[in-house]
Amino acid sequence: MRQVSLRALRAHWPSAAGVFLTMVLASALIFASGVLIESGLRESDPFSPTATMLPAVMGSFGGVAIMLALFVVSSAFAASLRDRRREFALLRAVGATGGQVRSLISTEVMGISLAALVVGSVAGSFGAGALVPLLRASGIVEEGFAPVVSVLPMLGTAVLLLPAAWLAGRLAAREMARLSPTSAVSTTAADARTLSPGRVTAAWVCLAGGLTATTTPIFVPGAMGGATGASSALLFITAVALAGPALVLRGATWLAERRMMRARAASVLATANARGYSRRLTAAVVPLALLVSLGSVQTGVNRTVAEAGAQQLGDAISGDLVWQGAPEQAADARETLAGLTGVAAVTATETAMVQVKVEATDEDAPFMDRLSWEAGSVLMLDDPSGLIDPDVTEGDLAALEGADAVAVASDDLTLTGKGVGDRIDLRHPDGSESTPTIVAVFDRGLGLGGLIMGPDGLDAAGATESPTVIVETASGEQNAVLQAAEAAGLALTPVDDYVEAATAMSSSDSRLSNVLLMVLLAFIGIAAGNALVIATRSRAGEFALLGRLGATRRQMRAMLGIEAALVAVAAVALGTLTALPGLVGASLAMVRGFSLGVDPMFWAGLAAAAVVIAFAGAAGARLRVRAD
Amino acid sequence: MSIPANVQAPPTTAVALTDVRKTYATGPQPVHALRGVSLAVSKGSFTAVMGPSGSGKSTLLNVAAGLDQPSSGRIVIGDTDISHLNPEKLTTFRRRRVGFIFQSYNLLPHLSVSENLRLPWWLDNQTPDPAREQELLRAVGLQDMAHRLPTELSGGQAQRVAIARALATQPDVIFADEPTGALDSHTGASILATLRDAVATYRQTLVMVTHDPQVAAAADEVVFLADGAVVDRAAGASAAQISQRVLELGR
Ligand SMILES: Nc1ncnc2c1ncn2[C@@H]1O[C@H](COP(=O)(O)OP(=O)(O)OP(=O)(O)O)[C@@H](O)[C@H]1O
Ligand SMILES: [Mg+2]
Repeated sequence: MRQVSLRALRAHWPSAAGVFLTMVLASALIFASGVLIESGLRESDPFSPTATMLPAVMGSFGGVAIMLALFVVSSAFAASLRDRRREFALLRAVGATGGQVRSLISTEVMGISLAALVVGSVAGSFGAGALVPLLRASGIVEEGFAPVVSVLPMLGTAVLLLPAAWLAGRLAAREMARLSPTSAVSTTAADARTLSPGRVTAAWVCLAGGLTATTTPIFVPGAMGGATGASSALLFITAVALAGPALVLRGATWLAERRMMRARAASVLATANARGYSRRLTAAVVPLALLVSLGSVQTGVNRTVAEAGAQQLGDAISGDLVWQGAPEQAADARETLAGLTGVAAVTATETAMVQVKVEATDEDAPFMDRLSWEAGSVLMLDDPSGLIDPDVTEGDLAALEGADAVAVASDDLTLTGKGVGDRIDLRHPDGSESTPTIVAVFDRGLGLGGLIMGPDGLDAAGATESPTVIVETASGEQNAVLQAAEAAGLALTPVDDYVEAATAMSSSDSRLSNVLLMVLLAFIGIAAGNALVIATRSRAGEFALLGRLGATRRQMRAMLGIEAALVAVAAVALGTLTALPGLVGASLAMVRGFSLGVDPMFWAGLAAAAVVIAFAGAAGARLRVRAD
Repeated sequence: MSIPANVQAPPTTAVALTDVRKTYATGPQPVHALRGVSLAVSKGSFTAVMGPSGSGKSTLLNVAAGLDQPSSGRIVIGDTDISHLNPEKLTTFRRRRVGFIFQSYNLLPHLSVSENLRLPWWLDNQTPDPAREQELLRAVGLQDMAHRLPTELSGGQAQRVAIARALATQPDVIFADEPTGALDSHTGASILATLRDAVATYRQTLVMVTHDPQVAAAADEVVFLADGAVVDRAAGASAAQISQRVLELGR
């Protein structure tokens, strides 16, 4: 049987190579994320950016990359095996048992996967290295950082991807083994018209899962990150992929009845192809829809989060002018400003870096210990009843005093389940630890950060940074105060400018996240284009037959063009539709007013990319009219 | 000529079908492709199956060979009731005891002639016997083409490879569904002669669908199907008589 496998690989090398490439890219992405996460976790100084930010940034990237990789890899295997259905049916007719067909497929799938895993890991370690300059520029790692490559990321990649590939092979094999041997002889094997009950159930489950993911942030306010949006979009897309053939069948049947489509041979053929090969068309549409969907959701939700942060910060501050400067000037500045005529009130704040213990582990391994601490910052108010209102929902800010009292944001997921009266574990840059008691819970976490402490909260525990003084002026006195402050050598900015600047700061690593997003989108784009080229190539026999029947090349090009247009329109429509619930959910949960957060130009770019890939895939068709 | 209601299988029966029905329920209306076919084929005989297009000939062969499940009825090959075998056992049984030749697309396009020929052995985890392979290739006149790919063969040569493969494991019964339907009559006749010789040499049973009265005339028995039922059986009829009968059925 090995001979059969090897010959089959030789004969189907273009599609095998396509699947291999997809798998290489997927393993490279996951491996590179793994390497960088591990490097961050191995960093000896727990408060350096490498230790705090790198695992977080690469973790959220890796999470989305894993979801994508699983999806793309399994659909690539499924598509390439589906094209060889007839061959497997003939093997069955010659006397191969279902088990033999299954093991033939498994051997091939695992062979390709293992080879791709090795190549992908090498590519991934180069990829991780290539990202270092950008990481350094974004301040996520220090000068001199070099990724540590170990076997762990490779094991992780294998553990994630191999089962997915194996499962895809299994599912395809199950379909093949169920084929009646006689289907080999029916010369044209159109796709089965009905979906199996299991597949229909799975589609409904994914739809329900997507809705749950979408509505979660509405019930658990603030619990919305890029990952939640991405997972809801991905669940909807999976539902579409599962139900796709049935949807395509409906759509194509409707189209075929339009008079416009019946006018020319090319459009009649194109709609008939869509109807007859509903699975093939679904396989072409889904990755492109994923491109549009994920791109929209990721950028849209990030913007919504930033906007919500700005809104919350603006709402929280009741002053109208802000001073910012060096830590050593802070005390003087506060005093001077408080003494100016026309100033009604002042509040000074500082922040300090901390690490919050996420879960209790009695593991001694430094590796595990690192995973159970989450980096965060504490906002310290000199006057908890002053000009900053965190919107307390439980407890009382008045109790914030000293190092033993803390207020936590209600949406701080790392502290889920803790409430007023509970203690949290903190670790400080000077190495000390403390366990303050929660005295209040507040709502404006996106604007102010997850933790608030009172005056002298952390004075003992190392450096504080970004001192800020908020000034409230008596009505009509704003200009006078501005001038007086200037005369005293203190530059004040209006609160709106401060909020804007603070939000811009928080998205200063947006270049990095844009690059990472582009990497993911490029991955989907390549996988989608690959799938289309394979699908078109596998139709050489069909084109040859049409040619013998007298179809001109022009007619066939027109037919392919209409098919590509159908694919592109369906992909953009489905991609947009599946992104909407996540975007609407994020908007409802987090911001006042309504905004989808999607940049129209970026969306148009994604749609254009989907259209270009759809047509490029069709352009690869070989229309040589030759006898078989 | 009468239609036996229920065939008692004599000891020399190679294939026995009892009240076999097959209904395709895929479309909006169920198609009754076989409506209670009973048939016994004796060992070492050559049976020709004839009938108008759509009368159920291919369905009958597929079901009898275990390639497809009947909706109801019993099928016995040799002394094995294949209607009660589980799918794995059925496939193994089929591989060892039954040969099948389709009208076309019999060969895996990426395997060479000799590799296609070795498939039954490979699938059975046996080492192919080179001497037997040579003998088979000689029998079908393809000893020089062992290394060609199916795309480099003519239609007739490809069918001869399929015949050689069907003979490879020395099955008890060979089913052939219009094996020369796609070929010109001269090539077809020579290939059928090859098939008949081989079957006679190895004392195998042959059941073949054909449209050619000339071929059917050489059969021990001709079974006429119409609308999913056996309407007639003839032994020792001449080509002219058979043509006449087919013409009547077609009307
Ligand atoms: N997979 C199928 N699904 C539905 N109906 C089928 C299927 N296969 C065959 N049929 C129907 O069953 C009937 C018998 O078909 P079959 O292929 O056995 O005819 P045949 O005698 O071999 O015809 P021909 O001489 O044209 O090959 C026909 O009416 C056909 O339409
Ligand atoms: Mg037929």
